[in-house]
Amino acid sequence: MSHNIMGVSAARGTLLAMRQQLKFIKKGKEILEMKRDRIAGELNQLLPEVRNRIVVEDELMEAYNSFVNALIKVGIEEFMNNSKVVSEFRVRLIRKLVMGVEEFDIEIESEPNVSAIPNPVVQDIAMKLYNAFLKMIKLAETENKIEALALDLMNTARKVNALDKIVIPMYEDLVRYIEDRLMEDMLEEFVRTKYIVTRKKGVKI
Amino acid sequence: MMRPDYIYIITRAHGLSTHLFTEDDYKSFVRLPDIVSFAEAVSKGDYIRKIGSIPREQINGKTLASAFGEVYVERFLYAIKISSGKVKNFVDMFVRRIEIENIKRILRAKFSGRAVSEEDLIKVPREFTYVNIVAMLESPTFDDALYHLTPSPYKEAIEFSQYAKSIGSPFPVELGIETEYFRRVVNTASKVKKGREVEKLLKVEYGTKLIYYILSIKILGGQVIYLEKYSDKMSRLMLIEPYIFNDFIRAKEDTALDVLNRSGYKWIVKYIEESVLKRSVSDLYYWSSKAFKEYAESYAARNPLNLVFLLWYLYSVEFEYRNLYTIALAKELDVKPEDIPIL
Repeated sequence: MSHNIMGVSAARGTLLAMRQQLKFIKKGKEILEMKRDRIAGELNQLLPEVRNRIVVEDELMEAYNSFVNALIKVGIEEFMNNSKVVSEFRVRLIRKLVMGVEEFDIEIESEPNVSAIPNPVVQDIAMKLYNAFLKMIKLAETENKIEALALDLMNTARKVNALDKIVIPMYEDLVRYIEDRLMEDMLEEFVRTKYIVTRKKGVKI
Repeated sequence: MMRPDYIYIITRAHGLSTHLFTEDDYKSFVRLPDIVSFAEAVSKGDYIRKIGSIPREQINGKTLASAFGEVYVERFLYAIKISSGKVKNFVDMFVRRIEIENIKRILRAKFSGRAVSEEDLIKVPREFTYVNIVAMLESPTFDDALYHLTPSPYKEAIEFSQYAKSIGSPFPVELGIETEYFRRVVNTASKVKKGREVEKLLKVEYGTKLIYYILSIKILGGQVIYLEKYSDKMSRLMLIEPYIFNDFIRAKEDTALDVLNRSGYKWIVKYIEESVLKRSVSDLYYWSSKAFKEYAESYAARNPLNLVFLLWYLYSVEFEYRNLYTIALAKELDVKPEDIPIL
């Protein structure tokens, strides 16, 4: 005899399937916990780099102030025609999937040859700005990773919580319920069998 | 006794120098609140026509710098017009520095394969150029552009192209062209009567520029050792012995100043010392220019009846151009008056 509980029948086969599913869910939860811890560890590693932002911003501001100072000394035209010596600065975005997290690496395809600039004042400024810009690119790359990791950490933690607090207890209840039901059925069956045997022997109960 | 054409040109130089802005003018310009009021204040004398033609809404650092540049070129060309004989040859050769600037602009673009057109150049009448600028502009490569220097007085600069390629910068060729230019100007100055003082001031200018270039490259960590090969040629255009110049090329930037103390450029050390110690290239540029300007001023004051005065006038035209675009850009970028570097 079988009973329907939450859409599943309390049969021995169902119990086995439910136990297997519970085992699988627990394993999944463990993997998600591992992923969560790994993301948290990576975030901890990346966060100090973001704290460097103020230093990079200061450096960029310093480079900009030097640029203004140099610009008024040598003039716009000198800056413009010196800039023609510099080759193009090209970067490429590389999309990566790490543990299901989408990350972007910025790869420099061709560096500008700032050392080719003939005017030393313009070359000096170009070097300062380029170095500050490289640091900003690195920072943007890190910030983008942190944003993606943080978002994924939030999702993973939510999934772990859902498994831990809702799905696993629900399955455990279900397995326990099916076990109880099966036990009851077995007892009922035993009592019934015992009754029939006793009646056959002619004993009055 | 001086020749009448000398007396005429020196007198004209004295007259023309009164058209230039004075230190007090600059002091009042830097205190102006914005670029429009600066444009109004500067819009007098030689500038009235150029600046008056700029619509008020189009007044900015670039348009003003362009107007100042046009006046600068016109003043140079006028100096050629009013001179005659050997003085005319000298002024004509001196004014070729505009052509040099145009050649540099073309070579810079060609070096990296970038597009360059006549709009990127300083407008100068064809008769004031040795080089076929149009052909240079149309050259497909750096080497082809250099080839057009062959029939010009700057052909010797072509040998610097191997260094340009080895260090990956057109700077050696530019230096070669400038060196050849100065050799020619000094040569025309030597043919002018009592031209020794003029020669000396030209050598001071070339030397000051070269000192700035070499020290800057040292500060930026670049190579200048290849210049040793040309030290004889270069030192002839400077107030420095070839062996001292070689020491200067080989020395590190701080010890290079000690080397300068042994040369005819001892006076420049007090101006540039701090910039070198601070390793600031833009300060070095400013202070070496300032040093040369003050040297030229005092030299001209000591020789008011010499052709040096005309040369000083031409330098002053250049310094005025620099000061005006500096103020225009500083006003546009809201730089504090005390931070505006006036020469």
